[in-house]
Amino acid sequence: MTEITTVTAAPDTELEASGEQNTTAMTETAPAAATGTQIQASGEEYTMAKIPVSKKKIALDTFWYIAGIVLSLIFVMPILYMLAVSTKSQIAADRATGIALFLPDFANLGTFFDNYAKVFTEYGIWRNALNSLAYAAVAIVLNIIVNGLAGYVLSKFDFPGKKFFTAIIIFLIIVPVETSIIPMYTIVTQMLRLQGPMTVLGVILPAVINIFNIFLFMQFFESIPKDYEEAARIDGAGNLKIFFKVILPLSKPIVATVAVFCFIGVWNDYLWPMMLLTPYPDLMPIQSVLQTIQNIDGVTTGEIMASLVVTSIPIFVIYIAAQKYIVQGFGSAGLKI
Amino acid sequence: MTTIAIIILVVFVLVLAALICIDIVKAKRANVQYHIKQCIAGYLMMAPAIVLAFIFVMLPILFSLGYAFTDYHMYYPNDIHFTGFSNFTELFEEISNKGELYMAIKNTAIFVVLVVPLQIGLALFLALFTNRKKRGVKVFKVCFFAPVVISLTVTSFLWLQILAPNESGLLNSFLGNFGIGPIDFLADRETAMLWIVLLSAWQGCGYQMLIFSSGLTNIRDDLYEAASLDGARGWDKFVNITVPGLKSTFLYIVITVFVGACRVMIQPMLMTGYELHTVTLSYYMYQMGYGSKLIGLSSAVALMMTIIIGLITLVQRKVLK
Amino acid sequence: MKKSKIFGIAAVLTATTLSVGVLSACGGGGNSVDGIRNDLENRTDKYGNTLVTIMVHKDQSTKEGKAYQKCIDEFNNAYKSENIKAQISFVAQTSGVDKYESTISTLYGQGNGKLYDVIAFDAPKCAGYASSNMFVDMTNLIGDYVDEFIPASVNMYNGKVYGLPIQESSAGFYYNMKVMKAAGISEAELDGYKTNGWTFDQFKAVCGKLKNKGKTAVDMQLYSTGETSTYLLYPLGNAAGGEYVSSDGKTVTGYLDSAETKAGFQFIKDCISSGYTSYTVGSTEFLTGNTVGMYLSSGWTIPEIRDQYSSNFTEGWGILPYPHAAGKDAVSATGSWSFAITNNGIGDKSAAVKLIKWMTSDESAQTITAATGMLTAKRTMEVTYDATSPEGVLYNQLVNTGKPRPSMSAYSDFSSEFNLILTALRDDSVESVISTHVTSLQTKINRNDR
Repeated sequence: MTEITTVTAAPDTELEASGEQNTTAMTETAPAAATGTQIQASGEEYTMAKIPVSKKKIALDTFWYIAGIVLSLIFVMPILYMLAVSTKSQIAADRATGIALFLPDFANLGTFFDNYAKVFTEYGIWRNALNSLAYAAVAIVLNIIVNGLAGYVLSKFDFPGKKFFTAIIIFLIIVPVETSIIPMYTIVTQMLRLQGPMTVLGVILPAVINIFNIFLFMQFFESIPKDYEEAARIDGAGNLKIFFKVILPLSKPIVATVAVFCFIGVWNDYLWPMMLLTPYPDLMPIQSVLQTIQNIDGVTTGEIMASLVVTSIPIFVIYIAAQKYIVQGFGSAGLKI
Repeated sequence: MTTIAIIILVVFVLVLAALICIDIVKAKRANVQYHIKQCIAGYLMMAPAIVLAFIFVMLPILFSLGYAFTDYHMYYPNDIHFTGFSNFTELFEEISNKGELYMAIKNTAIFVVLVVPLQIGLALFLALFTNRKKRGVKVFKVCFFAPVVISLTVTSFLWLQILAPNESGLLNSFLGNFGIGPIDFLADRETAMLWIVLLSAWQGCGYQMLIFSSGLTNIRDDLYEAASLDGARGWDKFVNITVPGLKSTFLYIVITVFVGACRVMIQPMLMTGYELHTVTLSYYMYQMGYGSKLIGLSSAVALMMTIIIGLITLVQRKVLK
Repeated sequence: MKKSKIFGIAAVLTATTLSVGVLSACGGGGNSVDGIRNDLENRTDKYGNTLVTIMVHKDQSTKEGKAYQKCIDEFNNAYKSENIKAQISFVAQTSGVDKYESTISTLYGQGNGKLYDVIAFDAPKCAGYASSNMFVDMTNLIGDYVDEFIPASVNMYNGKVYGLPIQESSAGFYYNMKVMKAAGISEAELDGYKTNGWTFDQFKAVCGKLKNKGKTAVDMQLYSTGETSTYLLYPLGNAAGGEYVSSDGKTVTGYLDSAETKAGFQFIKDCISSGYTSYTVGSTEFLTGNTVGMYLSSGWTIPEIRDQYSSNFTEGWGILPYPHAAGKDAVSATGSWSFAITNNGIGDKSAAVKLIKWMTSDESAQTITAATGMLTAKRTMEVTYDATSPEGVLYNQLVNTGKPRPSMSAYSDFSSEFNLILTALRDDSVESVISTHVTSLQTKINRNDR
């Protein structure tokens, strides 16, 4: 019965989201304001049916809410546990039972952030966090420029060999390449012979090139009318100027999507930096320091959890701040098939 | 190795040049000067992408293909021999002897067979569950999505603490209340993989839930309306409208989850280390290449994986379409 | 005109990308800006001291790490007059990608002078490192000094010395006297086994008595995974008079499938099929209950029993040595961490030899074993264990019956094959299990053979 309201909510949303198959439209972006009118509409259409079933409907609703709350709790329980333990001393963590396991240690506000303090000062996680941030920043900027330029050329230019590159791009996207991590390692260490701090290049550069992003840019740029470009060209702007001053500003959504996913990719990458940077602990990104902290003698569960929380926070922030672009990214991921 | 790279580069450039020549011959002669300028500008602007893609995307694929037929050992990069299919015969022998690779395939198969239906089923259920315009639905969605946000590394370490084989582990402290002694879940040969399945599904299903949700909103709602007017009940509507409407989304999700599941490596790596009861195909490939330095063999495993996964993906496309 | 300017920028951009590639391809990248690990390349510091570097596998904050630091400080004091200075790096082992292991292989892969002069390593990995030319053959460099160590503990490969032990460990069958008494086994009988050793048949007889009382006779840690079960159970094959691999580490055919080695596996299989041991006995059942008679484990269980589980052992406990086949010599498990000198392109190894001798001297061994609670590997050190005490049994095993794990470059393959054999023994006969694994292990060895 609950479906009735959903059903009547349909036409408006449908129009808004456009008749074509718009994969990027998500429930979250669906206009919430529309619901008001819908309820009215349902009232008109189903007045006769509504009164007798309303009791059943309330029961169903209550059941739905209870089920939702239980499910949500199951899903966030491990995360709550992580947050809760990160504020506790080992003794407090061991003593906690029942619901207190999942609640922060409000009883001892004095030692609330002790684990975090230790993780930052003694274990120096901030250094690795800064490394990760720096790698991500460089990778994002280069990623947008390098892939954006390629996408721009492939979408707007006409030159011999264009078809060849477009074909290669499509090929690389479609063919499932099983982790080429081992040959890549030999390329970085034995062919390019990256050593010492230069090894960082081996971590950043592979994150810069992303064939799928070239494809995304290509698709997006093609939808930009040629008029903008031509107007700028008449004003005497060169290709690069057009790209940076005209095309990129017009493509904010796709740039943001690429940037967000690039950040998440670099920040969450664990294996590849570990393989390259083990001899240089000062250059390690944050994911790998988690492992070091696990293996420190006498480390408490609280400290481990604090390090996990610190590692997760930037991604949480990004997801909240850039929700829209992430959802768009999900939509565009559908293009891959 | 550098020479091989240069040879590949030369071949690449030659192919490109040939294609360019064909293009030029085919192209109309009009406005040649503009063409040349655009050509130079275009190639200059694409150059960074071409260079990087060549080094970090093309070469690894080509090298991986080539290495698979050699005995390349990481410490002897100047002493590589072509060995034909001997890497592959060794791998097949290892499978028939129930060796490490057999265990790796078995564990990966267990993981894939369990995690794909579990994760997709859970995601679909959650998407349908939250496909209502109600107060609080967004909160639920955020809760279901929250595990996606934390990385695989964090997930693995978090669950390592939850499953810790002593009193400080959440699960063991819970079981302790019932007098069940501390259990080392991840050292248990039978159950360790099940825990990895469980936490992977927990971590991943929020992502697929969102994609399903977007698929659900794209189903033309007037279809439901029409069906209701025809007197269709909830289940009929689900079978006749929702299922066909989600078909392309479903195909996409099945393939991505399947391919992702075949690549599982970080969870067993961080939670148990290289152990026979949790080693997976990717982990085996990594261990052979980086741990044992046998790059030739590791590439052969990678090639085998590519072929198997490619074939299964093709079958999935054919069957589900 | 502006267009050409933009072209210029594009050209610069391209040139930068290309030059990054070219620069790094030339391998010149690392040297000029290398501020980290600088110590690896500068063999003398600005005061003219000769530098010698060492890397250990523990964190600086651990007891063991502090012991190493103390030894290094003492070394630097002692060699101040000779202008030799040691620098120590602590790279803790980690789960997942082992930082210690991959630091070694990365630095070694980078060529000349990058690898630390002296590194700590786990004993069974010796052959692998030595065969890939990473370790220096110390036989002539240290001369008679090698005689100061328990022979079984010195890391040999192809008859040459490649590593010196930091400390030692052994394993044995722990027993709970309360359970033993209940099964009618006297303390005197057990003490007899401790001093004279015991045979497979005597072992089985004891197991039979325990089983008759409804106990699980012995927990052989068959459920253990990875290196643990290999370490604990490999001596049984040797104690049946067999070998796993030829002395050069390259052939298993004729060794792993010899009648003697099979007899060792048959002993394990007999214990399983007679119900003396099982794959399902829990790892803490021996420590917390009275249902298990014996428990095969390494020396690290000694402090565990004393500190945590003493209440379960009110009538005493002890360690029994490994049993052996009748008419064959007893064999026991050995092998812990050792130091080796690396082949890192530095020609003059005299400072490294001084350092390794210092780190394995009696004083240093005293400092380190005091921190770790493990046994010493030095014969020259005085030990005062009672022969029937747990430590005494383990120490006597080390000195008299210790035998290192097979020395082969593909050791990790041996370990995983050994694990697979143990798993397969549950269902299949020794004969069929061994015949499959002989071929697969031989294939794996051939892969590493250069």
